[in-house]
Amino acid sequence: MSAGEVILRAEHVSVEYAGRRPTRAVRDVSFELRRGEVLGIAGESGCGKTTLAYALARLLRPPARMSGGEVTFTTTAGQTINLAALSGEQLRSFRWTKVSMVFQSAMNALNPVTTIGRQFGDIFAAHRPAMDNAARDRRARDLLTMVNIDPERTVCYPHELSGGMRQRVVIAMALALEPELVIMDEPTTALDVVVQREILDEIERLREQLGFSVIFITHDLSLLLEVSDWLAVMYAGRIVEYAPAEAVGKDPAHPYTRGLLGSFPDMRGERRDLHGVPGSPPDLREEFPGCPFEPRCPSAFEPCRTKLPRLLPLSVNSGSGWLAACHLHDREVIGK
Amino acid sequence: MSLLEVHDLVVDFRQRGGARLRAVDHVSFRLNKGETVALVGESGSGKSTVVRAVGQLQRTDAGAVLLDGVPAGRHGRALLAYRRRVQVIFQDPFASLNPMHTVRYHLARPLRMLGGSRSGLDDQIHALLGSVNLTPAEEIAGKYPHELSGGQRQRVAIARALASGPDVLLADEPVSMLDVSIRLEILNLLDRLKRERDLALLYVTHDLATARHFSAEIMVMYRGEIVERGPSDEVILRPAHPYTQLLASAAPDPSASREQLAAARRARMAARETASQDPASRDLAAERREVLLGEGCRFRLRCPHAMDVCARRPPDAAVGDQHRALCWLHARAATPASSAGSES
Repeated sequence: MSAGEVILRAEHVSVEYAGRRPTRAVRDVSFELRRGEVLGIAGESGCGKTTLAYALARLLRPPARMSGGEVTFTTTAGQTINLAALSGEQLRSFRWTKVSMVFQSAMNALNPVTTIGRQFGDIFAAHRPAMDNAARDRRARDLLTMVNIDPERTVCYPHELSGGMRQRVVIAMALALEPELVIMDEPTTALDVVVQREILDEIERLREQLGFSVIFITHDLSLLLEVSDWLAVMYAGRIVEYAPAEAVGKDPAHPYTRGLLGSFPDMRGERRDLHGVPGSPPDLREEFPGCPFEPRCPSAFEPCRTKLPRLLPLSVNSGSGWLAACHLHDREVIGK
Repeated sequence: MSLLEVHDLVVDFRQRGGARLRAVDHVSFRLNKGETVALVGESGSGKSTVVRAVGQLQRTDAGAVLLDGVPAGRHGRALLAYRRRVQVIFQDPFASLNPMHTVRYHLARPLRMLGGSRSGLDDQIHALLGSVNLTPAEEIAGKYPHELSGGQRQRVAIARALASGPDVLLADEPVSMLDVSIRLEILNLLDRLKRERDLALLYVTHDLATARHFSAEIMVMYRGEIVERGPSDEVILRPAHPYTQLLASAAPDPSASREQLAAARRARMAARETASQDPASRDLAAERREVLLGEGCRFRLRCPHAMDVCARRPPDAAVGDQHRALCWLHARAATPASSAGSES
């Protein structure tokens, strides 16, 4: 496994929800994910994070459809797959074996009327028809052991497990077919801090052990700064900042990222005045001639009202891959 | 005398088979005018049951709730008079507003119940909406909950709580259902209202960072008991009870470097590894919810410092100025205080 090679490439991805006035939930999003890396996607509710994740896993269902762009996936064997071209059997065998997903409110993602063991069995029945019952059972027990759950629990129903245990089961299911990429949509949001910490440690340990890549989606930026290598901040369906997670916490380039970072107090640091991001996100059925963040932006100036900012490399860190979509960083606009 | 005093509050829930689950076990605290006290703890620790019991929304099994030294009314006019002065803000603004009614209706009801005149009603509603920064008030008043965002709905819920002109607000996880970017505005709003109206505020949360930032005192609850209490900075920066230490170490720390994070993670994994070797603590990983009805410390099965003595009831030990922990580790420093909360 070579690090640094691109595993997933999204180019100009747009997603629309059909309607009298279509909702353009994802707008012209491009990024690259390298093998073994964790990409964090942050943003408020309704900014398009989950819709983007569904598009990457080819899980969109009408009224949503990908209205533009391309997603390509490169397997460890070096084969490049265009996701849009997959259909029928190809698509079915691609999903879960190459890209799997841990869904939002995973606590409710399990079937309440059947046992954990049978739900693992369903995965293998669909994707590994050659496996016999004994082998399926063995594999299910191995997977539970891997996420630190007593293997005897395969006979349990979901309601017999705590929230944290159900979350581990859902993660074990996502890893059942040893995918190369796992998309995690708010995997710890409904959990307590202590349980959340255990799950995050678990994910990190499994990642070291199995080497999969992760796209981690959450609105909790403080968490994302810790777990991810790269951070994409979304606003109104677009990526407005794409930055190395370790550095962006100290020196964000986009005013929206700065606003989000100012939205939570530092637990151990000095007390300071905190403001959050006043106002609310825009209606995604609208078209924006200028920067969609302009009405909430403390640094807005004239061009912001009329001209959509481009996602450009920062001049101070050119070559690092750090991008921001803000006129404050566009030399042509500020005329430097 | 404090504005609101809670003495040895006990709430039991009956379980199948007749067993009782003690959700709140001899909890005592005081709320003073113009002060915020935070109550933190994990899900199922009994935080919301405390709020419901103090708000007289839940039957209690023992203990007393005193408002200005007078026991809280339980029925009829006395209950109404108590509710007028002690109001609750609930966690979920999507569930706490009636989807069939407008904002005006939600605010008019508490105002009318106070016997306000019909003529001035609209002005009062607009003033309430203005005080929670919902403008233009005339337009908002005509809207239904589904037409509002989560943050706006929570502002309506706060305005409704303010309608009766209360002295005490009990805020049960008021921001945990909201987006991170909105949370701070709501907390800042509650903080401003507390100062302007000299309210006593109980802030229930599982977020230690905002608990420290917005309150003077923090109480940490574990399985029905308050295991640590003290000035916010003391409790967060120098936690004395092993449970508080666990909570504080689990919270995300954006200022830590990659090396610090990796080292902390390795230490936690090692600790968990050791714990899982011990057959007696295998159930620990199962996060079992049932309360140990023995006398001993309830945290002992998860505690890295557990000793033999922990099977006996831990003392309420002073660990600093106004800072107490229910733990044998601090027993030497213990003073013979009989019930927690009586020191202030």
